[in-house]
Amino acid sequence: MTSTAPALPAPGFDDPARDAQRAFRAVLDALARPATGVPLAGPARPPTALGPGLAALALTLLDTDCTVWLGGALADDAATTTWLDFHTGARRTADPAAAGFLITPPAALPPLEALEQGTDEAPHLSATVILDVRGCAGPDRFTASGPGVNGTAELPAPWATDGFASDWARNAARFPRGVDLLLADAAEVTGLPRSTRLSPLAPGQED
Amino acid sequence: MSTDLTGYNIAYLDEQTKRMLRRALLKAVAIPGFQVPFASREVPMPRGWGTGGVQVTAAIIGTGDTLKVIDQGADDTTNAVSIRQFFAAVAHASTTTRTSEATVIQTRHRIPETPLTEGQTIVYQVPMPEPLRFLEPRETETRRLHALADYGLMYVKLYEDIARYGHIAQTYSYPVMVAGRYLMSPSPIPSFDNPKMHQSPALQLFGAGREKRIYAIPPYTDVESLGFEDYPFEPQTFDDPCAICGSTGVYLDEVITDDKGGSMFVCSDTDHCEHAAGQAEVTR
Amino acid sequence: MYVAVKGGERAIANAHALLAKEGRGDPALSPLNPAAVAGQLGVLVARVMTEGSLYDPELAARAIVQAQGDVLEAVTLIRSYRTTLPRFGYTLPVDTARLPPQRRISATFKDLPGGQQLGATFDYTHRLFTDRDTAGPASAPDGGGPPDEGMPRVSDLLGASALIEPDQALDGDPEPGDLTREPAVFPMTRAERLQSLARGDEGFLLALGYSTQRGYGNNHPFAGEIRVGEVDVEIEIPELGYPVPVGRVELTECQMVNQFSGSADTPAQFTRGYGLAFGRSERKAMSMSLVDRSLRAGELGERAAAPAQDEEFVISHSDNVQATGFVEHLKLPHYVDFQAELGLVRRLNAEFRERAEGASGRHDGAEEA
Repeated sequence: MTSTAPALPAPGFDDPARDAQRAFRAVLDALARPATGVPLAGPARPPTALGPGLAALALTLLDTDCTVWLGGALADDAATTTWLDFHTGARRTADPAAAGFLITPPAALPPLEALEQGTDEAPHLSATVILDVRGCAGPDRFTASGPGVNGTAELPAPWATDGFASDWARNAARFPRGVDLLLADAAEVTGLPRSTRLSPLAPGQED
Repeated sequence: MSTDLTGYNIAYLDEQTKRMLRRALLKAVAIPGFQVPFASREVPMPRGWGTGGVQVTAAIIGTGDTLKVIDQGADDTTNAVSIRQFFAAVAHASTTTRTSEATVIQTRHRIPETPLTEGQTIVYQVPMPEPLRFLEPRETETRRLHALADYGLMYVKLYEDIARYGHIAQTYSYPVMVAGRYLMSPSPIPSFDNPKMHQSPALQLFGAGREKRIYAIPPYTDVESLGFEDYPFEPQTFDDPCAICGSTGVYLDEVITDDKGGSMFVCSDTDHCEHAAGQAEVTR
Repeated sequence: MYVAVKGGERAIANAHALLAKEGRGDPALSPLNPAAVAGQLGVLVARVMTEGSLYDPELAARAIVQAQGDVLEAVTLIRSYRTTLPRFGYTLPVDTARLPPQRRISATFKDLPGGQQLGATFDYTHRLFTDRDTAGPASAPDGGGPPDEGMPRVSDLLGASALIEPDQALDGDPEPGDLTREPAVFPMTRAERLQSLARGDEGFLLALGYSTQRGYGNNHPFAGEIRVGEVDVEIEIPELGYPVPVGRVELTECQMVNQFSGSADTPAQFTRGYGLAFGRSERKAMSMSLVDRSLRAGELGERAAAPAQDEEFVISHSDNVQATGFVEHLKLPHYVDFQAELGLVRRLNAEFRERAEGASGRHDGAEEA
């Protein structure tokens, strides 16, 4: 990767209408069935910093009506910002609290309570976090329950940072306000809507 | 009158509109039972004829889908036919009348008799999304009541029914509590169908085009029909089996057969009826 | 065999064929040409464009012909087409003060800069049938045209001496919302309300406006000015840095001058109601301005008790595409709900009879509760 912005950003979806529909169904399925990984196909040549999974979510969900905050190295990656500007037109903001969408690696994720929560009358106006979970190797695992989960489901969470469990518990306690999470790697997306409750599972413990 | 559809986008709506709908759908799924306001678009059919359902279906449907459309449980009522033809033309979707073969089912007023399964999505056409609307006409007020989870009005209404008639006199659009938080209108399905919503393996999406609201029930979610300890919710039942296929425990339409009070009861779900009649034939 | 639910597809095809035949009328007569409709039924075309929210006289005329003269059906056609159009940008606000009017009247001043101009109006026609072919354009246009001195808006003339509230919101001039792109949430801004009213049904707004004149929320209106004319539509192109005209639209604007407000702290000023519509749509623009003003009751500290002062009531019911859809949906099958109600009514009746019989039984002393 060179550090200068390419003259023309890499292409988006091959077939914008059909590819976005498929990616959306993956996201919808992921949020409707929390803690279950759903296969996700992205564009052929996404910016390296985004990878095909995050790129697919950005193309599917973002447009000029959205504000997006980029976390960690993404914010300074010219290939990513040029590509997002060109394909989505989403307004980038430097203030995570003002963003409708956040795309970030776990380490750069602000505390959830610092993000837009929506209001009791309009809880849908809350932030959606697209968490880049590629290459995470933490030891955490959770048991998930709540709407969309048939009983309970085990959720390996190598992306979970210290304090995530309690941050998430506070997020769930704010229901119906609260933030929703989409965990994306290169080829899969997992949903964690605010309605999902997580309880830590000791390493090696079976659900 | 043929419709020339050249120049229209796949699934009719433009991509920006689909994204707007899709973002609303995701929030709806994340807050089960909450009515998400959305900038409802005109679609080429009248408001009140399923424009909400049509927009939701247009936002989710793809070439991999098989679509079933029913109105009153039937695949071949005129409005169901009209909507099915629309999607066959603009979304190049495969269509079916078999509940078990469908990946997306758009419905008005019924839930199919064949139990829905994981991976299926049912899209309800909703005329009045606000369960409190006939008790409180103001949006500003009902919005506040939902925020406070203050549903006393509805319980008072149901209680007054009991005082007056000895029963809860609500036979369709019977209000439900979703995941223990939001009071929700299930759309004008008969209360007979309400139990099918509870812990359904299918994703349930609701679109109200004229009223500009989208809401959802994820799979495996508690959907409780309101009731009292001494007057619990009782879904309707029918005494007779279907006169065509002999099914019991299904919802029936009454068909008037003469002008002397004669009538027969037949399945409202035409797919179920055909299938059950075929099975009965084989058994015989 | 029960066949009533069968044959939906054929029924629809047959109905469409019959509709087309009915719409064609007598085949010996020539079919209506949309261009002629646009030219000769301009008032109808203006209504369809206004309520359809799309300025395209030819297309509106085509919609009217296809809808066989059903205005709401034509509006629905236009709206359904409009929603599929890509949006390239936003025009600059049109400047109606610069609009060279075909018609300009004020009921508040006998004479004023720019003068009064009757223009094309039904106002002083005798409502007697005339033979259109011979009536023709009887008199040549008076040739005067708008004088070069321009025609400042009456509201600007009053505004110059601070006798009327200013035209813009005092806290700047925020970008208006767009109800076709964002969900409408009550309470609305005035800009959103005006957009809604502009799309609203002429008949509904007429009735509501009329109701304010009859005491249901009276706001003492004077028709400060009504003007009709064509105005340039301009768009700012970032690469050029200056606005470029992209076309012209015909507009009717009504500035209603209303009941003054004031207090110990602020001097008395007239207030405004505003109406704007495509084409020659005077009735619509006037009705709209009456309703706009009455919906400002809350903002102006007036007691709001009349229907025309109730934002949720007015805005929720002004859209005729929504209204007609929902009223007409009652002809869709409702077998399922009706069966549910029928079952309950039968059950309640049976229980009522049982109770009645039980009561008469007790009366005979034969039954124990």
